[in-house]
Amino acid sequence: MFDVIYINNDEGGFGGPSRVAEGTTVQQFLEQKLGNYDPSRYLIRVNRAPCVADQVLHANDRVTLSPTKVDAA
Amino acid sequence: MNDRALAKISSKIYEEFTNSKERSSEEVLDYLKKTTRYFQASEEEIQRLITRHRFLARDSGISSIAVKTARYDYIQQACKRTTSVIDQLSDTISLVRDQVVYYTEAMQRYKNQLDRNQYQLPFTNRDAFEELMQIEREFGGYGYNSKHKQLSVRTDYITLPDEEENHVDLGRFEIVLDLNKLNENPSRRPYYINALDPHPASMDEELVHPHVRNNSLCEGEGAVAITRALNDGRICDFFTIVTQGLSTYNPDSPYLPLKEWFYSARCARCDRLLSDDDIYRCGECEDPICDECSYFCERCDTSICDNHHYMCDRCEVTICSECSNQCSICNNMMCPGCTENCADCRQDICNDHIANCEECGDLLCQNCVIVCPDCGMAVCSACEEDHDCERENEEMFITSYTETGNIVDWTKDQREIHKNME
Repeated sequence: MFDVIYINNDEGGFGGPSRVAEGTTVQQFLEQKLGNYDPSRYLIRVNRAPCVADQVLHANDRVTLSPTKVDAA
Repeated sequence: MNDRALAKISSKIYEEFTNSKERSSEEVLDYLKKTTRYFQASEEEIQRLITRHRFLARDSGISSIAVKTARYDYIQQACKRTTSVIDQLSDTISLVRDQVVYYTEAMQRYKNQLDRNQYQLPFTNRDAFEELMQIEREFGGYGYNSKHKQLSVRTDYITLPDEEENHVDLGRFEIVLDLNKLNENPSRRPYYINALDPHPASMDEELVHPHVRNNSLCEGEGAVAITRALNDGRICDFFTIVTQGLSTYNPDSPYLPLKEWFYSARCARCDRLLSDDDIYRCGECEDPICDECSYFCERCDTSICDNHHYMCDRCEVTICSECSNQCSICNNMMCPGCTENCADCRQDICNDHIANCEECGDLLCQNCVIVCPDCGMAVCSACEEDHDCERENEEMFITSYTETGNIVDWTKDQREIHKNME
Protein backbone atom coordinates (compact mmCIF):
# COMPACT_ATOMS: atom_id res chain seq x y z
CA MET A 1 0.00 0.00 0.00
CA PHE A 2 1.13 3.54 -0.68
CA ASP A 3 -0.27 7.07 -0.73
CA VAL A 4 -1.37 9.10 -3.72
CA ILE A 5 -2.63 12.67 -3.56
CA TYR A 6 -6.22 12.78 -4.65
CA ILE A 7 -7.86 16.11 -5.57
CA ASN A 8 -11.52 16.11 -6.54
CA ASN A 9 -12.58 19.47 -7.92
CA ASP A 10 -16.13 18.18 -8.19
CA GLU A 11 -16.55 17.99 -4.44
CA GLY A 12 -15.22 21.30 -3.31
CA GLY A 13 -11.70 20.71 -4.52
CA PHE A 14 -10.47 19.22 -1.28
CA GLY A 15 -7.27 17.32 -1.74
CA GLY A 16 -5.36 14.92 0.43
CA PRO A 17 -3.49 11.66 0.61
CA SER A 18 -5.31 8.46 -0.17
CA ARG A 19 -4.14 4.88 0.46
CA VAL A 20 -3.86 2.74 -2.67
CA ALA A 21 -2.93 -0.92 -3.19
CA GLU A 22 -0.05 -1.85 -5.45
CA GLY A 23 -1.05 -2.23 -9.10
CA THR A 24 -4.22 -0.15 -8.81
CA THR A 25 -5.14 1.52 -12.07
CA VAL A 26 -6.65 4.99 -12.44
CA GLN A 27 -10.04 3.51 -13.30
CA GLN A 28 -10.01 1.17 -10.29
CA PHE A 29 -8.95 3.98 -8.01
CA LEU A 30 -11.72 6.28 -9.19
CA GLU A 31 -14.29 3.48 -8.95
CA GLN A 32 -13.24 3.00 -5.36
CA LYS A 33 -13.64 6.72 -4.75
CA LEU A 34 -16.75 7.49 -6.76
CA GLY A 35 -18.53 4.18 -7.34
CA ASN A 36 -19.87 3.82 -10.85
CA TYR A 37 -18.60 7.05 -12.29
CA ASP A 38 -18.99 8.34 -15.82
CA PRO A 39 -15.50 9.20 -17.13
CA SER A 40 -16.96 11.53 -19.75
CA ARG A 41 -18.03 13.85 -16.92
CA TYR A 42 -14.45 14.43 -15.80
CA LEU A 43 -11.09 15.69 -16.91
CA ILE A 44 -8.70 13.27 -15.22
CA ARG A 45 -5.05 14.10 -14.78
CA VAL A 46 -2.27 12.11 -13.17
CA ASN A 47 0.74 14.20 -12.26
CA ARG A 48 -0.79 17.10 -14.23
CA ALA A 49 -0.92 15.10 -17.47
CA PRO A 50 -3.81 13.37 -19.23
CA CYS A 51 -3.92 9.65 -18.53
CA VAL A 52 -5.49 6.43 -19.75
CA ALA A 53 -7.93 4.34 -17.72
CA ASP A 54 -5.55 1.43 -17.15
CA GLN A 55 -2.59 3.56 -16.11
CA VAL A 56 -1.13 2.08 -12.96
CA LEU A 57 -0.73 4.45 -10.04
CA HIS A 58 2.54 4.90 -8.17
CA ALA A 59 3.42 6.28 -4.78
CA ASN A 60 2.93 10.04 -4.46
CA ASP A 61 1.13 10.30 -7.78
CA ARG A 62 -1.19 13.26 -7.93
CA VAL A 63 -4.63 12.37 -9.28
CA THR A 64 -6.80 15.34 -10.18
CA LEU A 65 -10.44 15.14 -11.13
CA SER A 66 -12.18 18.17 -12.63
CA PRO A 67 -15.80 18.15 -13.78
CA THR A 68 -16.42 18.93 -17.44
CA LYS A 69 -19.58 20.80 -16.43
CA VAL A 70 -19.66 23.34 -13.62
CA ASP A 71 -23.06 24.86 -13.01
CA ALA A 72 -22.52 28.55 -12.52
CA ALA A 73 -25.32 30.54 -10.94
CA MET B 1 8.16 30.27 -23.87
CA ASN B 2 11.60 29.01 -22.83
CA ASP B 3 12.27 27.37 -19.49
CA ARG B 4 14.22 30.34 -18.17
CA ALA B 5 11.35 32.76 -18.78
CA LEU B 6 8.94 30.22 -17.37
CA ALA B 7 11.06 29.83 -14.23
CA LYS B 8 11.19 33.58 -13.78
CA ILE B 9 7.42 33.94 -13.98
CA SER B 10 6.77 30.88 -11.82
CA SER B 11 9.13 32.28 -9.21
CA LYS B 12 7.11 35.51 -9.08
CA ILE B 13 3.87 33.57 -8.89
CA TYR B 14 5.22 31.42 -6.09
CA GLU B 15 6.25 34.53 -4.23
CA GLU B 16 2.80 36.09 -4.55
CA PHE B 17 0.99 32.94 -3.45
CA THR B 18 3.27 32.44 -0.47
CA ASN B 19 2.97 36.09 0.58
CA SER B 20 -0.77 35.97 0.31
CA LYS B 21 -0.97 33.03 2.68
CA GLU B 22 1.31 34.68 5.22
CA ARG B 23 -0.55 37.95 4.98
CA SER B 24 -3.87 36.15 5.46
CA SER B 25 -2.69 34.63 8.73
CA GLU B 26 -1.37 37.96 9.97
CA GLU B 27 -4.62 39.62 9.03
CA VAL B 28 -6.63 37.07 10.98
CA LEU B 29 -4.43 37.52 14.04
CA ASP B 30 -4.81 41.24 13.77
CA TYR B 31 -8.60 40.83 13.62
CA LEU B 32 -8.51 38.72 16.78
CA LYS B 33 -6.46 41.28 18.67
CA LYS B 34 -8.72 44.10 17.53
CA THR B 35 -11.80 42.09 18.54
CA THR B 36 -10.50 41.60 22.05
CA ARG B 37 -9.57 45.27 22.43
CA TYR B 38 -12.90 46.42 21.06
CA PHE B 39 -14.98 44.26 23.37
CA GLN B 40 -12.95 45.37 26.39
CA ALA B 41 -13.51 49.02 25.48
CA SER B 42 -17.21 48.40 24.82
CA GLU B 43 -17.67 46.71 28.19
CA GLU B 44 -16.01 49.62 29.99
CA GLU B 45 -18.18 52.12 28.12
CA ILE B 46 -21.36 50.25 28.95
CA GLN B 47 -20.34 49.96 32.62
CA ARG B 48 -19.64 53.70 32.73
CA LEU B 49 -23.04 54.52 31.25
CA ILE B 50 -24.85 52.17 33.61
CA THR B 51 -23.10 53.75 36.62
CA ARG B 52 -24.00 57.20 35.38
CA HIS B 53 -27.59 56.11 34.91
CA ARG B 54 -27.80 54.82 38.48
CA PHE B 55 -26.21 57.96 39.80
CA LEU B 56 -28.61 60.19 37.89
CA ALA B 57 -31.58 58.18 39.04
CA ARG B 58 -30.53 58.53 42.68
CA ASP B 59 -29.50 62.15 42.33
CA SER B 60 -32.73 63.19 40.68
CA GLY B 61 -34.86 61.48 43.20
CA ILE B 62 -36.48 58.87 41.04
CA SER B 63 -37.51 56.96 44.05
CA SER B 64 -40.66 56.16 45.85
CA ILE B 65 -40.08 59.14 48.15
CA ALA B 66 -39.81 61.51 45.22
CA VAL B 67 -42.95 60.15 43.70
CA LYS B 68 -44.76 60.34 46.97
CA THR B 69 -43.72 63.92 47.50
CA ALA B 70 -44.82 64.63 43.96
CA ARG B 71 -41.65 66.39 42.89
CA TYR B 72 -42.72 66.29 39.30
CA ASP B 73 -40.35 68.92 37.99
CA TYR B 74 -37.45 67.05 39.52
CA ILE B 75 -38.66 63.78 38.11
CA GLN B 76 -39.14 65.38 34.73
CA GLN B 77 -35.56 66.59 34.61
CA ALA B 78 -34.32 63.22 35.75
CA CYS B 79 -36.31 61.50 33.02
CA LYS B 80 -34.74 63.74 30.39
CA ARG B 81 -31.25 62.97 31.56
CA THR B 82 -32.02 59.28 31.82
CA THR B 83 -33.40 59.31 28.30
CA SER B 84 -30.18 60.89 27.08
CA VAL B 85 -28.13 58.18 28.80
CA ILE B 86 -30.35 55.48 27.35
CA ASP B 87 -29.85 56.97 23.90
CA GLN B 88 -26.09 56.81 24.35
CA LEU B 89 -26.37 53.23 25.57
CA SER B 90 -28.49 52.35 22.58
CA ASP B 91 -25.91 53.86 20.20
CA THR B 92 -23.12 51.96 21.89
CA ILE B 93 -25.04 48.70 21.74
CA SER B 94 -25.77 49.30 18.08
CA LEU B 95 -22.05 49.87 17.40
CA VAL B 96 -21.15 46.75 19.34
CA ARG B 97 -23.69 44.75 17.32
CA ASP B 98 -22.14 45.94 14.04
CA GLN B 99 -18.71 45.07 15.28
CA VAL B 100 -19.88 41.64 16.42
CA VAL B 101 -21.11 40.92 12.89
CA TYR B 102 -17.84 42.19 11.43
CA TYR B 103 -15.66 40.17 13.75
CA THR B 104 -17.82 37.07 13.46
CA GLU B 105 -17.09 37.14 9.76
CA ALA B 106 -13.41 37.56 10.54
CA MET B 107 -13.59 34.56 12.87
CA GLN B 108 -15.33 32.57 10.18
CA ARG B 109 -12.51 33.38 7.80
CA TYR B 110 -10.05 32.31 10.47
CA LYS B 111 -11.92 29.05 10.92
CA ASN B 112 -11.90 28.47 7.17
CA GLN B 113 -8.19 29.11 7.19
CA LEU B 114 -7.72 26.51 9.93
CA ASP B 115 -9.92 24.03 8.05
CA ARG B 116 -7.94 24.55 4.92
CA ASN B 117 -4.71 24.10 6.77
CA GLN B 118 -5.72 20.67 8.04
CA TYR B 119 -4.15 19.29 4.93
CA GLN B 120 -2.24 21.74 2.88
CA LEU B 121 -1.05 20.54 -0.47
CA PRO B 122 2.59 21.34 -0.88
CA PHE B 123 3.26 24.41 -2.99
CA THR B 124 6.84 25.08 -3.91
CA ASN B 125 8.60 27.08 -6.54
CA ARG B 126 8.78 23.86 -8.54
CA ASP B 127 4.98 23.45 -8.23
CA ALA B 128 4.46 26.97 -9.59
CA PHE B 129 6.71 26.09 -12.51
CA GLU B 130 4.80 22.87 -13.20
CA GLU B 131 1.48 24.69 -12.92
CA LEU B 132 2.58 27.05 -15.67
CA MET B 133 3.76 24.13 -17.82
CA GLN B 134 0.39 22.46 -17.34
CA ILE B 135 -1.47 25.69 -18.20
CA GLU B 136 0.59 25.95 -21.38
CA ARG B 137 -0.36 22.39 -22.32
CA GLU B 138 -4.03 22.66 -21.44
CA PHE B 139 -4.77 26.14 -22.72
CA GLY B 140 -2.16 26.43 -25.45
CA GLY B 141 -0.38 29.28 -23.67
CA TYR B 142 -0.93 32.04 -21.16
CA GLY B 143 -0.26 35.71 -20.69
CA TYR B 144 1.66 37.26 -17.83
CA ASN B 145 1.59 40.98 -17.18
CA SER B 146 4.59 41.56 -14.94
CA LYS B 147 3.65 45.19 -14.29
CA HIS B 148 0.21 44.35 -12.92
CA LYS B 149 1.12 40.82 -11.84
CA GLN B 150 -1.72 39.32 -13.81
CA LEU B 151 -1.77 35.82 -15.22
CA SER B 152 -4.31 35.11 -17.94
CA VAL B 153 -5.51 32.33 -20.21
CA ARG B 154 -7.92 32.30 -23.12
CA THR B 155 -10.75 29.87 -23.63
CA ASP B 156 -11.79 28.36 -26.94
CA TYR B 157 -14.89 29.67 -28.67
CA ILE B 158 -17.76 28.95 -26.33
CA THR B 159 -21.10 27.91 -27.74
CA LEU B 160 -23.88 27.05 -25.34
CA PRO B 161 -27.18 25.31 -26.07
CA ASP B 162 -30.25 27.18 -24.90
CA GLU B 163 -33.38 25.62 -23.40
CA GLU B 164 -34.57 24.57 -26.85
CA GLU B 165 -31.19 23.20 -27.93
CA ASN B 166 -30.46 26.15 -30.18
CA HIS B 167 -26.80 27.02 -29.93
CA VAL B 168 -25.70 30.48 -28.98
CA ASP B 169 -22.18 31.50 -29.89
CA LEU B 170 -20.64 33.60 -27.11
CA GLY B 171 -17.10 33.89 -28.46
CA ARG B 172 -13.84 33.47 -26.58
CA PHE B 173 -13.13 34.66 -23.07
CA GLU B 174 -10.02 35.66 -21.21
CA ILE B 175 -9.68 34.70 -17.55
CA VAL B 176 -7.36 37.10 -15.75
CA LEU B 177 -5.99 36.18 -12.33
CA ASP B 178 -4.79 39.22 -10.43
CA LEU B 179 -2.03 38.00 -8.13
CA ASN B 180 -2.11 41.26 -6.19
CA LYS B 181 -5.62 40.45 -5.01
CA LEU B 182 -5.00 36.95 -3.72
CA ASN B 183 -5.13 38.04 -0.09
CA GLU B 184 -8.14 40.30 -0.34
CA ASN B 185 -11.53 39.64 1.19
CA PRO B 186 -12.63 36.16 0.02
CA SER B 187 -15.94 37.58 -1.17
CA ARG B 188 -14.00 39.69 -3.68
CA ARG B 189 -12.65 37.36 -6.29
CA PRO B 190 -9.07 37.90 -7.40
CA TYR B 191 -9.93 37.28 -11.04
CA TYR B 192 -12.14 38.66 -13.77
CA ILE B 193 -13.49 37.61 -17.14
CA ASN B 194 -13.06 39.51 -20.39
CA ALA B 195 -15.04 38.72 -23.50
CA LEU B 196 -12.60 38.68 -26.41
CA ASP B 197 -15.24 38.50 -29.12
CA PRO B 198 -18.29 39.81 -27.29
CA HIS B 199 -21.66 38.55 -28.44
CA PRO B 200 -23.73 40.43 -25.88
CA ALA B 201 -27.39 39.85 -25.23
CA SER B 202 -29.54 42.10 -27.40
CA MET B 203 -31.35 43.36 -24.32
CA ASP B 204 -28.21 44.18 -22.36
CA GLU B 205 -24.92 45.17 -23.99
CA GLU B 206 -23.10 44.55 -20.70
CA LEU B 207 -24.13 40.91 -20.60
CA VAL B 208 -21.59 38.85 -22.55
CA HIS B 209 -22.35 35.49 -20.95
CA PRO B 210 -25.46 34.23 -19.14
CA HIS B 211 -23.40 33.78 -15.96
CA VAL B 212 -21.05 36.76 -16.22
CA ARG B 213 -21.88 40.30 -15.27
CA ASN B 214 -19.46 43.18 -14.78
CA ASN B 215 -16.59 40.86 -15.74
CA SER B 216 -17.44 38.63 -12.81
CA LEU B 217 -18.46 34.99 -13.05
CA CYS B 218 -21.30 33.91 -10.78
CA GLU B 219 -19.51 30.76 -9.72
CA GLY B 220 -22.41 28.71 -8.34
CA GLU B 221 -21.32 25.09 -7.80
CA GLY B 222 -17.73 25.93 -8.64
CA ALA B 223 -17.27 28.48 -5.86
CA VAL B 224 -15.69 26.20 -3.24
CA ALA B 225 -13.50 24.39 -5.75
CA ILE B 226 -12.24 27.71 -7.12
CA THR B 227 -11.42 28.99 -3.63
CA ARG B 228 -9.65 25.75 -2.76
CA ALA B 229 -7.65 25.70 -5.97
CA LEU B 230 -6.46 29.27 -5.42
CA ASN B 231 -5.66 28.57 -1.81
CA ASP B 232 -3.58 25.52 -2.76
CA GLY B 233 -1.80 27.33 -5.56
CA ARG B 234 -3.38 24.98 -8.11
CA ILE B 235 -3.56 27.69 -10.72
CA CYS B 236 -4.25 25.35 -13.62
CA ASP B 237 -7.16 23.75 -11.74
CA PHE B 238 -8.48 27.23 -11.03
CA PHE B 239 -8.40 28.17 -14.71
CA THR B 240 -9.91 24.80 -15.65
CA ILE B 241 -12.86 25.13 -13.25
CA VAL B 242 -13.57 28.69 -14.35
CA THR B 243 -13.39 27.60 -17.99
CA GLN B 244 -15.82 24.74 -17.30
CA GLY B 245 -18.10 27.23 -15.55
CA LEU B 246 -18.03 29.42 -18.63
CA SER B 247 -18.64 26.41 -20.87
CA THR B 248 -21.70 25.24 -18.96
CA TYR B 249 -25.14 26.77 -19.13
CA ASN B 250 -27.26 26.51 -16.03
CA PRO B 251 -30.82 27.35 -17.10
CA ASP B 252 -31.95 27.63 -13.47
CA SER B 253 -30.15 30.85 -12.64
CA PRO B 254 -28.71 32.80 -15.54
CA TYR B 255 -28.62 36.60 -15.56
CA LEU B 256 -30.59 36.26 -18.77
CA PRO B 257 -31.90 32.98 -20.22
CA LEU B 258 -30.12 32.04 -23.42
CA LYS B 259 -33.44 31.59 -25.21
CA GLU B 260 -33.90 35.33 -24.77
CA TRP B 261 -30.38 36.20 -25.91
CA PHE B 262 -31.34 37.55 -29.31
CA TYR B 263 -34.52 39.26 -28.28
CA SER B 264 -34.06 42.96 -27.94
CA ALA B 265 -36.73 43.67 -25.40
CA ARG B 266 -39.82 42.57 -23.57
CA CYS B 267 -43.15 44.23 -24.17
CA ALA B 268 -43.61 46.63 -21.27
CA ARG B 269 -47.29 45.74 -21.12
CA CYS B 270 -47.70 41.99 -21.79
CA ASP B 271 -44.05 40.89 -21.21
CA ARG B 272 -43.81 39.21 -24.60
CA LEU B 273 -40.27 38.81 -26.00
CA LEU B 274 -39.59 41.08 -28.91
CA SER B 275 -36.96 40.95 -31.59
CA ASP B 276 -35.75 44.15 -33.23
CA ASP B 277 -38.36 43.92 -35.98
CA ASP B 278 -41.23 43.43 -33.55
CA ILE B 279 -40.57 46.39 -31.30
CA TYR B 280 -42.81 49.41 -31.29
CA ARG B 281 -41.80 52.20 -28.97
CA CYS B 282 -44.35 54.39 -27.31
CA GLY B 283 -43.87 57.93 -28.59
CA GLU B 284 -44.51 59.23 -25.08
CA CYS B 285 -42.68 57.01 -22.61
CA GLU B 286 -40.47 55.15 -25.12
CA ASP B 287 -41.36 51.81 -23.53
CA PRO B 288 -40.98 48.88 -25.91
CA ILE B 289 -44.36 47.43 -26.82
CA CYS B 290 -45.57 44.64 -29.06
CA ASP B 291 -47.96 45.11 -31.97
CA GLU B 292 -50.88 43.85 -29.89
CA CYS B 293 -50.28 46.36 -27.11
CA SER B 294 -49.59 49.33 -29.34
CA TYR B 295 -52.00 51.96 -30.61
CA PHE B 296 -51.44 54.36 -33.46
CA CYS B 297 -52.33 58.01 -33.37
CA GLU B 298 -54.66 58.56 -36.29
CA ARG B 299 -53.40 62.09 -36.66
CA CYS B 300 -49.62 61.69 -36.66
CA ASP B 301 -49.25 57.89 -36.96
CA THR B 302 -47.03 57.64 -33.87
CA SER B 303 -47.18 54.34 -31.96
CA ILE B 304 -48.33 54.75 -28.38
CA CYS B 305 -48.87 52.45 -25.42
CA ASP B 306 -52.16 52.01 -23.62
CA ASN B 307 -51.06 54.39 -20.88
CA HIS B 308 -50.58 57.23 -23.33
CA HIS B 309 -53.30 56.86 -25.89
CA TYR B 310 -56.47 58.91 -25.88
CA MET B 311 -59.75 58.60 -27.68
CA CYS B 312 -61.46 61.73 -28.95
CA ASP B 313 -64.63 62.08 -26.91
CA ARG B 314 -66.53 63.30 -29.95
CA CYS B 315 -65.38 61.34 -33.00
CA GLU B 316 -63.67 58.45 -31.09
CA VAL B 317 -60.46 58.39 -33.12
CA THR B 318 -57.26 57.28 -31.34
CA ILE B 319 -54.87 60.10 -30.67
CA CYS B 320 -51.60 60.68 -28.81
CA SER B 321 -51.19 63.38 -26.20
CA GLU B 322 -49.39 65.61 -28.71
CA CYS B 323 -52.42 65.51 -30.97
CA SER B 324 -55.04 65.81 -28.27
CA ASN B 325 -56.64 69.00 -27.05
CA GLN B 326 -58.50 69.42 -23.82
CA CYS B 327 -61.65 71.52 -23.89
CA SER B 328 -61.22 74.29 -21.35
CA ILE B 329 -64.93 74.15 -20.52
CA CYS B 330 -65.75 70.44 -20.18
CA ASN B 331 -62.14 69.12 -19.86
CA ASN B 332 -62.80 66.32 -22.35
CA MET B 333 -59.93 65.16 -24.56
CA MET B 334 -60.60 65.81 -28.22
CA CYS B 335 -58.77 65.47 -31.49
CA PRO B 336 -57.76 68.73 -33.20
CA GLY B 337 -60.60 68.22 -35.68
CA CYS B 338 -63.18 68.46 -32.93
CA THR B 339 -61.76 71.50 -31.12
CA GLU B 340 -61.31 75.15 -31.90
CA ASN B 341 -59.23 77.91 -30.45
CA CYS B 342 -60.96 80.77 -28.65
CA ALA B 343 -60.04 84.05 -30.36
CA ASP B 344 -60.05 85.86 -27.01
CA CYS B 345 -58.43 83.58 -24.44
CA ARG B 346 -56.67 81.28 -26.97
CA GLN B 347 -57.77 78.19 -25.06
CA ASP B 348 -59.01 75.00 -26.73
CA ILE B 349 -62.74 74.48 -26.81
CA CYS B 350 -64.81 71.62 -28.13
CA ASN B 351 -67.56 72.19 -30.63
CA ASP B 352 -70.20 71.85 -27.91
CA HIS B 353 -68.93 74.91 -26.09
CA ILE B 354 -68.12 77.25 -28.89
CA ALA B 355 -69.89 80.38 -30.07
CA ASN B 356 -69.32 82.96 -32.82
CA CYS B 357 -68.92 86.67 -32.37
CA GLU B 358 -71.90 88.05 -34.21
CA GLU B 359 -69.93 91.11 -35.24
CA CYS B 360 -66.65 89.72 -36.57
CA GLY B 361 -67.41 86.03 -36.74
CA ASP B 362 -64.48 84.99 -34.52
CA LEU B 363 -64.82 81.74 -32.58
CA LEU B 364 -65.20 82.20 -28.86
CA CYS B 365 -65.47 80.02 -25.81
CA GLN B 366 -68.53 80.50 -23.69
CA ASN B 367 -66.48 82.30 -21.06
CA CYS B 368 -65.50 85.00 -23.48
CA VAL B 369 -68.87 85.65 -25.08
CA ILE B 370 -70.34 89.03 -24.18
CA VAL B 371 -74.08 89.42 -24.67
CA CYS B 372 -75.52 92.87 -25.15
CA PRO B 373 -78.49 93.23 -22.82
CA ASP B 374 -80.28 95.55 -25.22
CA CYS B 375 -80.02 93.80 -28.53
CA GLY B 376 -79.02 90.36 -27.26
CA MET B 377 -76.11 90.21 -29.67
CA ALA B 378 -73.17 87.95 -28.68
CA VAL B 379 -69.85 89.64 -29.35
CA CYS B 380 -66.17 89.22 -28.55
CA SER B 381 -64.27 91.61 -26.30
CA ALA B 382 -62.75 93.42 -29.29
CA CYS B 383 -66.14 94.08 -30.83
CA GLU B 384 -67.72 95.00 -27.51
CA GLU B 385 -66.02 98.40 -27.52
CA ASP B 386 -67.26 99.25 -30.98
CA HIS B 387 -70.66 97.73 -30.44
CA ASP B 388 -73.15 100.42 -31.32
CA CYS B 389 -76.69 99.85 -30.28
CA GLU B 390 -79.17 102.13 -28.66
CA ARG B 391 -78.91 101.37 -25.04
CA GLU B 392 -80.77 103.04 -22.28
CA ASN B 393 -78.57 101.41 -19.76
CA GLU B 394 -74.91 102.22 -20.11
CA GLU B 395 -73.88 98.97 -18.51
CA MET B 396 -73.00 96.09 -20.74
CA PHE B 397 -74.13 92.68 -19.53
CA ILE B 398 -71.87 89.76 -19.71
CA THR B 399 -73.06 86.24 -19.95
CA SER B 400 -71.15 83.53 -18.30
CA TYR B 401 -71.84 79.98 -17.51
CA THR B 402 -71.68 78.52 -14.06
CA GLU B 403 -70.25 75.06 -13.46
CA THR B 404 -73.76 73.66 -13.53
CA GLY B 405 -74.35 75.19 -16.92
CA ASN B 406 -76.80 77.88 -15.74
CA ILE B 407 -76.47 81.21 -17.46
CA VAL B 408 -75.79 84.10 -15.13
CA ASP B 409 -75.94 87.69 -16.25
CA TRP B 410 -73.47 89.97 -14.62
CA THR B 411 -72.82 93.60 -15.04
CA LYS B 412 -69.17 94.45 -15.48
CA ASP B 413 -69.02 95.80 -11.94
CA GLN B 414 -70.71 92.74 -10.56
CA ARG B 415 -68.29 90.52 -12.37
CA GLU B 416 -65.30 92.38 -10.91
CA ILE B 417 -66.76 92.02 -7.45
CA HIS B 418 -67.41 88.33 -8.03
CA LYS B 419 -63.88 87.79 -9.27
CA ASN B 420 -62.43 89.49 -6.23
CA MET B 421 -64.60 87.37 -3.99
CA GLU B 422 -63.36 84.21 -5.66
